[in-house]
Amino acid sequence: MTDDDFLELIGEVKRQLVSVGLPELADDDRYRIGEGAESRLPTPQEQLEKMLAAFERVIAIHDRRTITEAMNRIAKATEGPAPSGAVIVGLAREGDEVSEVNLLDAPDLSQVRSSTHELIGQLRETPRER
Amino acid sequence: MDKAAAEAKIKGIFGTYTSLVGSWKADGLTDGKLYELYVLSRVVEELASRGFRLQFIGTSLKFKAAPGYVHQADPHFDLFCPGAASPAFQLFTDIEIETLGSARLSHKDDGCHHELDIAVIDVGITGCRPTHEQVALGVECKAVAGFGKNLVREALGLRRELSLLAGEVPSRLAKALRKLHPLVPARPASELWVAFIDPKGRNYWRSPAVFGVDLRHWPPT
Repeated sequence: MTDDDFLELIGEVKRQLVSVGLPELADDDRYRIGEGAESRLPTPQEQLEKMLAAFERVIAIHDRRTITEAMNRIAKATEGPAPSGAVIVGLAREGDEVSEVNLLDAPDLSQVRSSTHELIGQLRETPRER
Repeated sequence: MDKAAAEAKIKGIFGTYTSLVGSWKADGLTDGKLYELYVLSRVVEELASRGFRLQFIGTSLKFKAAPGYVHQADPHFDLFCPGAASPAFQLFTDIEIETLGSARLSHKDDGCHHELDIAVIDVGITGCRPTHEQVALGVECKAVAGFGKNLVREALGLRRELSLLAGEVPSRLAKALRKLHPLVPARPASELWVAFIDPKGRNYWRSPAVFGVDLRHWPPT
Protein backbone atom coordinates (compact mmCIF):
# COMPACT_ATOMS: atom_id res chain seq x y z
CA MET A 1 0.00 0.00 0.00
CA THR A 2 1.11 3.56 -0.61
CA ASP A 3 1.36 6.34 1.99
CA ASP A 4 -1.86 7.76 0.53
CA ASP A 5 -3.60 4.43 1.11
CA PHE A 6 -2.43 4.39 4.71
CA LEU A 7 -3.54 8.01 5.19
CA GLU A 8 -7.02 7.11 3.93
CA LEU A 9 -7.15 4.23 6.38
CA ILE A 10 -6.03 6.58 9.17
CA GLY A 11 -8.96 8.80 8.23
CA GLU A 12 -11.33 5.85 8.51
CA VAL A 13 -9.92 4.82 11.90
CA LYS A 14 -10.26 8.40 13.12
CA ARG A 15 -13.92 8.49 12.08
CA GLN A 16 -14.55 5.20 13.85
CA LEU A 17 -12.74 6.30 17.02
CA VAL A 18 -14.80 9.46 17.24
CA SER A 19 -18.01 7.53 16.62
CA VAL A 20 -17.31 5.10 19.49
CA GLY A 21 -16.51 7.93 21.91
CA LEU A 22 -12.71 7.79 21.83
CA PRO A 23 -11.85 11.09 20.07
CA GLU A 24 -8.64 11.48 22.08
CA LEU A 25 -7.21 8.52 20.18
CA ALA A 26 -7.90 10.27 16.86
CA ASP A 27 -5.54 13.16 17.61
CA ASP A 28 -2.39 13.07 15.44
CA ASP A 29 -0.33 14.70 18.21
CA ARG A 30 -0.69 11.60 20.36
CA TYR A 31 1.44 9.67 17.91
CA ARG A 32 4.36 12.08 17.62
CA ILE A 33 7.80 10.64 18.13
CA GLY A 34 10.05 12.65 20.43
CA GLU A 35 9.42 15.90 22.28
CA GLY A 36 9.11 19.56 21.35
CA ALA A 37 10.43 21.14 18.17
CA GLU A 38 12.27 18.01 17.10
CA SER A 39 9.21 15.79 17.34
CA ARG A 40 7.76 14.31 14.17
CA LEU A 41 4.88 12.20 13.07
CA PRO A 42 5.67 8.60 12.18
CA THR A 43 5.10 7.30 8.67
CA PRO A 44 1.41 6.82 7.82
CA GLN A 45 1.87 3.07 8.10
CA GLU A 46 3.42 3.35 11.57
CA GLN A 47 0.78 5.83 12.71
CA LEU A 48 -2.01 3.53 11.63
CA GLU A 49 -0.43 0.70 13.63
CA LYS A 50 0.01 2.96 16.66
CA MET A 51 -3.60 4.17 16.51
CA LEU A 52 -4.92 0.64 16.41
CA ALA A 53 -2.54 -0.39 19.20
CA ALA A 54 -3.82 2.49 21.35
CA PHE A 55 -7.40 1.34 20.64
CA GLU A 56 -6.39 -2.19 21.63
CA ARG A 57 -4.96 -0.94 24.95
CA VAL A 58 -8.09 1.03 25.79
CA ILE A 59 -10.54 -1.75 24.96
CA ALA A 60 -8.49 -4.14 27.10
CA ILE A 61 -9.67 -2.06 30.07
CA HIS A 62 -13.34 -2.59 29.11
CA ASP A 63 -12.99 -6.31 28.56
CA ARG A 64 -14.74 -8.67 30.94
CA ARG A 65 -11.68 -10.89 30.92
CA THR A 66 -9.54 -8.06 32.37
CA ILE A 67 -12.11 -7.44 35.08
CA THR A 68 -12.50 -11.13 35.91
CA GLU A 69 -8.72 -11.59 36.08
CA ALA A 70 -8.44 -8.56 38.38
CA MET A 71 -11.09 -9.97 40.71
CA ASN A 72 -9.32 -13.35 40.73
CA ARG A 73 -5.99 -11.67 41.47
CA ILE A 74 -7.56 -9.82 44.41
CA ALA A 75 -9.16 -13.03 45.71
CA LYS A 76 -5.82 -14.83 45.52
CA ALA A 77 -4.01 -12.11 47.47
CA THR A 78 -6.70 -11.79 50.14
CA GLU A 79 -7.30 -13.91 53.24
CA GLY A 80 -10.91 -14.76 54.02
CA PRO A 81 -13.86 -13.70 51.88
CA ALA A 82 -12.90 -11.86 48.71
CA PRO A 83 -15.02 -9.06 47.21
CA SER A 84 -18.10 -10.57 45.59
CA GLY A 85 -18.42 -7.79 43.02
CA ALA A 86 -17.23 -4.39 41.91
CA VAL A 87 -19.33 -1.33 41.16
CA ILE A 88 -18.78 2.24 40.08
CA VAL A 89 -20.84 4.67 42.11
CA GLY A 90 -21.79 7.61 39.92
CA LEU A 91 -22.33 11.23 40.81
CA ALA A 92 -25.81 12.00 42.08
CA ARG A 93 -27.79 14.66 40.25
CA GLU A 94 -30.21 16.76 42.23
CA GLY A 95 -33.41 14.77 42.70
CA ASP A 96 -31.97 11.59 41.25
CA GLU A 97 -30.69 8.48 42.95
CA VAL A 98 -27.01 7.67 42.71
CA SER A 99 -26.37 5.37 39.77
CA GLU A 100 -24.27 2.24 40.09
CA VAL A 101 -22.58 0.28 37.31
CA ASN A 102 -21.74 -3.35 37.92
CA LEU A 103 -18.31 -4.01 36.44
CA LEU A 104 -18.96 -7.74 36.25
CA ASP A 105 -21.52 -6.98 33.52
CA ALA A 106 -18.72 -5.84 31.21
CA PRO A 107 -18.86 -7.30 27.69
CA ASP A 108 -16.53 -9.98 26.43
CA LEU A 109 -14.26 -8.14 24.00
CA SER A 110 -11.79 -10.96 23.38
CA GLN A 111 -12.85 -11.27 19.71
CA VAL A 112 -12.44 -7.54 19.08
CA ARG A 113 -9.06 -7.54 20.83
CA SER A 114 -7.75 -10.50 18.86
CA SER A 115 -9.04 -9.09 15.53
CA THR A 116 -7.37 -5.76 16.26
CA HIS A 117 -4.14 -7.47 17.22
CA GLU A 118 -4.23 -9.56 14.06
CA LEU A 119 -4.89 -6.50 11.87
CA ILE A 120 -1.93 -4.64 13.41
CA GLY A 121 0.31 -7.58 12.56
CA GLN A 122 -1.01 -7.73 8.98
CA LEU A 123 -0.50 -4.00 8.47
CA ARG A 124 3.04 -4.24 9.84
CA GLU A 125 3.87 -6.90 7.26
CA THR A 126 2.26 -5.01 4.36
CA PRO A 127 4.95 -3.64 2.01
CA ARG A 128 5.09 0.14 1.85
CA GLU A 129 4.99 1.16 -1.82
CA ARG A 130 6.55 4.43 -2.87
CA MET B 1 -3.05 -7.00 2.71
CA ASP B 2 -4.63 -4.41 0.36
CA LYS B 3 -6.48 -1.24 1.27
CA ALA B 4 -9.98 -2.62 0.66
CA ALA B 5 -9.36 -5.62 2.91
CA ALA B 6 -7.87 -3.40 5.65
CA GLU B 7 -10.80 -0.99 5.46
CA ALA B 8 -13.33 -3.83 5.67
CA LYS B 9 -11.56 -5.26 8.68
CA ILE B 10 -11.41 -1.86 10.42
CA LYS B 11 -15.16 -1.37 9.91
CA GLY B 12 -15.83 -4.89 11.14
CA ILE B 13 -13.79 -4.40 14.31
CA PHE B 14 -15.45 -1.13 15.25
CA GLY B 15 -18.89 -2.44 14.33
CA THR B 16 -18.46 -5.41 16.64
CA TYR B 17 -17.05 -3.20 19.38
CA THR B 18 -20.01 -0.82 19.15
CA SER B 19 -22.56 -3.62 19.33
CA LEU B 20 -20.86 -5.21 22.34
CA VAL B 21 -19.94 -2.20 24.44
CA GLY B 22 -22.30 0.59 23.38
CA SER B 23 -25.15 0.38 25.84
CA TRP B 24 -23.01 -0.88 28.69
CA LYS B 25 -20.50 1.97 28.49
CA ALA B 26 -23.28 4.53 28.32
CA ASP B 27 -24.06 3.96 32.01
CA GLY B 28 -21.75 6.71 33.22
CA LEU B 29 -18.83 4.37 33.16
CA THR B 30 -15.38 5.82 32.85
CA ASP B 31 -12.15 4.28 31.63
CA GLY B 32 -10.42 5.63 34.72
CA LYS B 33 -12.51 3.64 37.16
CA LEU B 34 -12.21 0.46 35.12
CA TYR B 35 -8.45 0.85 35.07
CA GLU B 36 -8.52 1.54 38.81
CA LEU B 37 -9.89 -1.96 39.42
CA TYR B 38 -7.11 -3.47 37.35
CA VAL B 39 -4.46 -1.42 39.17
CA LEU B 40 -6.01 -2.24 42.55
CA SER B 41 -5.53 -5.93 41.79
CA ARG B 42 -1.85 -5.33 40.98
CA VAL B 43 -1.37 -3.23 44.14
CA VAL B 44 -3.01 -5.84 46.37
CA GLU B 45 -0.90 -8.54 44.74
CA GLU B 46 2.30 -6.59 45.34
CA LEU B 47 1.46 -5.79 48.96
CA ALA B 48 0.81 -9.49 49.58
CA SER B 49 4.09 -10.42 47.89
CA ARG B 50 5.94 -7.96 50.14
CA GLY B 51 4.64 -9.83 53.18
CA PHE B 52 1.38 -8.19 54.24
CA ARG B 53 -1.70 -10.27 54.93
CA LEU B 54 -4.79 -8.61 53.48
CA GLN B 55 -8.40 -8.96 54.56
CA PHE B 56 -11.25 -7.44 52.61
CA ILE B 57 -13.83 -5.61 54.72
CA GLY B 58 -17.20 -5.30 52.95
CA THR B 59 -19.04 -7.23 50.28
CA SER B 60 -18.32 -5.53 46.95
CA LEU B 61 -15.60 -3.15 45.82
CA LYS B 62 -16.88 0.38 45.25
CA PHE B 63 -15.22 2.96 43.03
CA LYS B 64 -16.61 6.43 43.50
CA ALA B 65 -17.00 8.98 40.74
CA ALA B 66 -16.50 11.63 43.41
CA PRO B 67 -13.69 11.01 45.94
CA GLY B 68 -14.20 12.08 49.53
CA TYR B 69 -13.63 11.36 53.20
CA VAL B 70 -12.53 8.03 54.58
CA HIS B 71 -15.36 6.07 56.18
CA GLN B 72 -14.78 2.78 57.93
CA ALA B 73 -18.17 1.61 56.63
CA ASP B 74 -16.84 1.84 53.05
CA PRO B 75 -15.33 -1.30 51.52
CA HIS B 76 -11.60 -1.47 52.20
CA PHE B 77 -8.71 -3.81 52.91
CA ASP B 78 -6.99 -4.26 56.28
CA LEU B 79 -3.25 -4.90 56.00
CA PHE B 80 -1.58 -7.00 58.68
CA CYS B 81 2.12 -7.48 59.27
CA PRO B 82 3.15 -11.14 59.68
CA GLY B 83 2.03 -12.52 63.04
CA ALA B 84 0.11 -9.39 64.01
CA ALA B 85 -3.45 -9.61 65.32
CA SER B 86 -4.41 -6.06 64.45
CA PRO B 87 -3.93 -4.26 61.14
CA ALA B 88 -0.98 -1.96 60.52
CA PHE B 89 -2.63 -0.09 57.64
CA GLN B 90 -5.84 0.12 55.64
CA LEU B 91 -6.31 0.43 51.88
CA PHE B 92 -9.12 2.59 50.51
CA THR B 93 -10.03 3.74 47.01
CA ASP B 94 -11.08 7.21 45.84
CA ILE B 95 -10.30 9.25 48.91
CA GLU B 96 -9.02 12.75 49.51
CA ILE B 97 -6.03 13.60 51.67
CA GLU B 98 -5.05 16.79 53.47
CA THR B 99 -1.94 18.22 51.86
CA LEU B 100 1.40 18.95 53.45
CA GLY B 101 0.87 22.61 52.63
CA SER B 102 -2.45 22.68 54.44
CA ALA B 103 -0.78 21.42 57.61
CA ARG B 104 0.99 24.79 57.76
CA LEU B 105 -2.16 26.86 57.32
CA SER B 106 -4.91 27.96 59.66
CA HIS B 107 -7.30 28.88 56.83
CA LYS B 108 -7.91 26.30 54.12
CA ASP B 109 -9.32 26.30 50.62
CA ASP B 110 -9.95 23.80 47.81
CA GLY B 111 -6.24 23.48 47.13
CA CYS B 112 -5.65 21.99 50.57
CA HIS B 113 -6.74 18.48 49.67
CA HIS B 114 -6.05 16.15 46.79
CA GLU B 115 -7.51 12.90 45.51
CA LEU B 116 -5.77 9.56 45.61
CA ASP B 117 -7.20 6.77 43.46
CA ILE B 118 -5.80 4.12 45.79
CA ALA B 119 -4.32 4.86 49.20
CA VAL B 120 -2.78 2.87 52.03
CA ILE B 121 -3.25 4.88 55.21
CA ASP B 122 -3.09 4.61 58.98
CA VAL B 123 -5.75 2.53 60.73
CA GLY B 124 -9.05 3.78 62.09
CA ILE B 125 -9.46 7.12 60.33
CA THR B 126 -13.12 7.87 59.69
CA GLY B 127 -15.33 10.80 58.75
CA CYS B 128 -12.42 12.93 57.60
CA ARG B 129 -9.47 13.12 55.25
CA PRO B 130 -6.17 11.57 56.28
CA THR B 131 -3.30 14.00 56.66
CA HIS B 132 -0.20 13.65 54.50
CA GLU B 133 1.52 12.08 57.52
CA GLN B 134 -1.08 9.30 57.64
CA VAL B 135 -0.43 8.15 54.07
CA ALA B 136 1.89 5.18 53.52
CA LEU B 137 1.20 4.64 49.81
CA GLY B 138 -0.62 6.65 47.18
CA VAL B 139 -1.40 5.26 43.74
CA GLU B 140 -2.58 7.28 40.77
CA CYS B 141 -4.14 5.43 37.83
CA LYS B 142 -3.71 6.94 34.37
CA ALA B 143 -5.82 5.15 31.78
CA VAL B 144 -5.13 7.78 29.13
CA ALA B 145 -4.07 6.43 25.77
CA GLY B 146 -1.35 9.06 25.36
CA PHE B 147 1.10 9.59 28.20
CA GLY B 148 2.28 13.21 28.35
CA LYS B 149 4.62 15.29 30.44
CA ASN B 150 1.60 16.86 32.12
CA LEU B 151 1.10 13.58 33.98
CA VAL B 152 4.66 13.73 35.28
CA ARG B 153 4.18 17.30 36.48
CA GLU B 154 0.89 16.33 38.15
CA ALA B 155 2.57 13.44 39.97
CA LEU B 156 5.44 15.67 41.08
CA GLY B 157 2.94 18.13 42.52
CA LEU B 158 1.23 15.35 44.43
CA ARG B 159 4.61 14.08 45.67
CA ARG B 160 5.37 17.58 46.98
CA GLU B 161 2.09 17.72 48.86
CA LEU B 162 2.71 14.34 50.49
CA SER B 163 6.31 14.71 51.67
CA LEU B 164 9.44 16.80 51.71
CA LEU B 165 12.41 15.67 49.67
CA ALA B 166 14.92 14.03 52.04
CA GLY B 167 17.64 11.42 52.17
CA GLU B 168 16.56 7.93 51.21
CA VAL B 169 15.07 5.82 54.00
CA PRO B 170 12.98 2.63 54.03
CA SER B 171 9.38 3.48 53.18
CA ARG B 172 6.70 3.37 55.87
CA LEU B 173 5.46 0.09 54.40
CA ALA B 174 8.97 -1.37 54.40
CA LYS B 175 9.56 -0.22 57.98
CA ALA B 176 6.34 -1.86 59.16
CA LEU B 177 7.58 -5.13 57.67
CA ARG B 178 11.06 -4.57 59.16
CA LYS B 179 12.59 -4.48 55.70
CA LEU B 180 15.15 -2.13 54.22
CA HIS B 181 13.48 -1.76 50.82
CA PRO B 182 12.01 0.04 49.04
CA LEU B 183 13.88 3.21 49.90
CA VAL B 184 12.14 6.55 49.33
CA PRO B 185 13.69 10.04 49.29
CA ALA B 186 10.82 11.47 51.29
CA ARG B 187 9.83 12.60 54.76
CA PRO B 188 7.24 11.29 55.74
CA ALA B 189 8.43 8.19 53.88
CA SER B 190 5.33 7.48 51.83
CA GLU B 191 5.49 5.73 48.48
CA LEU B 192 3.83 7.23 45.42
CA TRP B 193 3.16 5.10 42.36
CA VAL B 194 1.73 6.21 39.04
CA ALA B 195 0.28 3.36 36.96
CA PHE B 196 -0.28 3.93 33.25
CA ILE B 197 -1.12 2.04 30.05
CA ASP B 198 0.78 3.93 27.34
CA PRO B 199 4.27 2.49 26.74
CA LYS B 200 5.47 6.02 25.96
CA GLY B 201 5.37 6.67 29.71
CA ARG B 202 8.45 4.49 30.11
CA ASN B 203 10.49 7.37 28.64
CA TYR B 204 9.69 9.64 31.59
CA TRP B 205 10.62 7.77 34.77
CA ARG B 206 14.16 8.86 35.60
CA SER B 207 13.75 12.41 36.89
CA PRO B 208 10.50 11.76 38.82
CA ALA B 209 12.22 8.78 40.49
CA VAL B 210 14.74 11.18 42.06
CA PHE B 211 11.79 12.69 43.94
CA GLY B 212 10.22 9.37 44.88
CA VAL B 213 7.63 9.08 42.11
CA ASP B 214 7.51 5.48 40.94
CA LEU B 215 6.14 5.24 37.37
CA ARG B 216 4.72 1.79 36.61
CA HIS B 217 3.72 0.64 33.13
CA TRP B 218 0.78 -1.62 33.93
CA PRO B 219 -1.31 -2.23 30.81
CA PRO B 220 -3.98 -4.92 31.06
CA THR B 221 -2.80 -7.89 29.00
